[in-house]
Amino acid sequence: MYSDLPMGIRGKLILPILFAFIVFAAILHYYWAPLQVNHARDIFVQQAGKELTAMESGLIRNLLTRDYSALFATLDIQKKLHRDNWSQLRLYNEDNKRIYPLYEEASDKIDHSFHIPYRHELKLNGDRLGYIDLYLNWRNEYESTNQRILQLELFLILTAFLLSVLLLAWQHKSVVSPINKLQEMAERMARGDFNISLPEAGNDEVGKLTRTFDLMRREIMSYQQSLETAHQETKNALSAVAKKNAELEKEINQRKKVEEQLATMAMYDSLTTLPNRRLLIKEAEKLLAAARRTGKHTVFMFIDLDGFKAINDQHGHDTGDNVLAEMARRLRDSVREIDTVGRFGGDEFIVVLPECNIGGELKSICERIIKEICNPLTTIEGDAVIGASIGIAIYPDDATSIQDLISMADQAMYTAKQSGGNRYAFISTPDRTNSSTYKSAQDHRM
Amino acid sequence: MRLWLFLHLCIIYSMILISGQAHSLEQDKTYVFGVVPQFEANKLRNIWQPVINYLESETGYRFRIKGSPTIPDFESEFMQGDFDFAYMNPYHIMLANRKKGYIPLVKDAGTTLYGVLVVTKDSSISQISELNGSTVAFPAPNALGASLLMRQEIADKFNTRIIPTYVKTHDSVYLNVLLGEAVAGAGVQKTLDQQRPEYKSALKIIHKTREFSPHPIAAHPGVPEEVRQAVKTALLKLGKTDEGRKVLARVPIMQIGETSMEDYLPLETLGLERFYVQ
Repeated sequence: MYSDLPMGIRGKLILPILFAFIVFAAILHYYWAPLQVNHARDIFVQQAGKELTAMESGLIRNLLTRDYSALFATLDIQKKLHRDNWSQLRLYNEDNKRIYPLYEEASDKIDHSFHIPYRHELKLNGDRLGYIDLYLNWRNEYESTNQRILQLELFLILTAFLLSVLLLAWQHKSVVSPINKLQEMAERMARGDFNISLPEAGNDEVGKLTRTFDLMRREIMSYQQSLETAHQETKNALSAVAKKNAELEKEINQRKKVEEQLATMAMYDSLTTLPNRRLLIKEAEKLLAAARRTGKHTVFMFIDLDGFKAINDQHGHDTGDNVLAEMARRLRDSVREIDTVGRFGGDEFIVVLPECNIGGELKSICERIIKEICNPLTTIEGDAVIGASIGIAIYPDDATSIQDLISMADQAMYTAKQSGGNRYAFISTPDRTNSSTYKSAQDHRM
Repeated sequence: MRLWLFLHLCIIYSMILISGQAHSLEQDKTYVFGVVPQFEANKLRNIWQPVINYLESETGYRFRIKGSPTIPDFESEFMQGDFDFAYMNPYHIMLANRKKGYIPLVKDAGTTLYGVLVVTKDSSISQISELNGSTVAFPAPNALGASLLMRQEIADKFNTRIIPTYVKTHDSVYLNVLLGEAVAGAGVQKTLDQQRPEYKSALKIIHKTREFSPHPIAAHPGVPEEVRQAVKTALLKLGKTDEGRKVLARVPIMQIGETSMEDYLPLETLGLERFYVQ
């Protein structure tokens, strides 16, 4: 329950001391002080009793001898002596007759909170000879006693207060302050700062806590260090793996490239980057399949370069290769987008032209090809003239299979080469185109 | 003849010698001065020491106060002639004169004393005869005015029997009357006058005794005449200065004057011994 109170440890430590202090002050004020006052009152009354007893024998003698003047003198003196403390002093004889004072005096006011009625019997050998009645006014005694008690009370309370403060200061130094410091250190540790100096540890619980805390701090520190080491190692390992992965990826890419190259090499001609014979036939099959569905003409051209052998022999294979590559580029630029150009082998090329109008369009394509091929080669010194002999076979008019169409186009090319080269020739000689073809070829050669 | 002459010369010489010695003895003697113990010893000494000092310086003789514990002691002492000088009451001088021949020298000449009998003012009693069988308070049996003379007159003049009660002091007498402890009380005018006004006004006097002279200072007849005379002269001289009167007033002697046994002889005839209590 106590630990549930909404206050800090300092408050919890102060509370019992404060409580004890208040209880002490309350006991002092409400129990001890009244006790002292009552005690003082008793002593005051006893004192009066003693004084009356001391003068008793004289009074008795005076009573017995009826020496009232002496009796009056004694009582007058006593009254004067005790004028601050005694009031309404009266003496009665054995018949309860008032002897002293002779006349009722203007009596002092009786304050019943301070005037204690007191009767003193005058006895001789057990015979009652009379009695004295008076009020003991203990106001002065009460005030001086009270003053004394208050001073003592104040002193005790101040002492207790001072002790409480010292106790609190000591508690603060030995409990609250170390705990606060520990808490502060724990907070710094929570933020990751382990470079802390702990308060001095005694042999008490707080000291033990501090030492345990320090032990824990060191444990965490070494744990953290090992964790960091492990983390670093993991990081290193991971980076090694990543590096390896990258290498692997690179290798894979290389392999892919190689594979692609290999594939390209398998499908394309490495020198001219044109589809090789196999890919060409494959493409041609697709185009033919399409042509079979549409029923449109597909033209097969078999092109052989004129004069290439001479260049090859004269300038070497490297130059020959360069010329081949150049010619392949010119060839491809001369045909339509949808046309397929392939290297068939050596200086022989095949062009498949789907959906081709075998009238003017085919003628213009052929003429463009011859023109492009015949353009002079700037890269070669001297006279280097290349020409092209084109043989043409048309699907489905000349044949329907690729082999037949290629073979027919080859025959037609041969015809064109026989005719002097640098011209195009059909395998069939349709009336509409024959004469003009030659003419054109010849024109081009000019 | 020669022998007779020698003897006479011897006698004369020795007489001269003796008288010289006697004179020197007189000079060295310390005279004892007794005082009736009407007050306690210290008070008496305070009153009388200035008087004694004065007498010594004035007369050249030496004096010593002799205190007595009680009045009976004092009485037996003067009856034996122990005092050279004494201050005593009028009844005492009567006894002392009769027994040892004490001679009164001076007294308070300004006043005479008389006893008074008082009852409370509201009392129905107005004369002594009504007191027959009543309790009457007296200070002491042998006080002259308040007791001896009063009782003598009650008995002899009024033929009344009272029950006396002795309450030590005049003040007590009046208080006993006021408290109703005694029907009447006897004192002297002087002490009645000294009571508080409210006491005095509550009392009334129903009888006064005959007047008599107050206390004398008396000398033993054995004291040489010139010494007696010197003391008497010195005391009378003391009454002539203001300071001296102050000293005497405390005795109390208000107006000091000569006295002789003549002043006290009237008491002799009253038969006061009958009322004296030993």
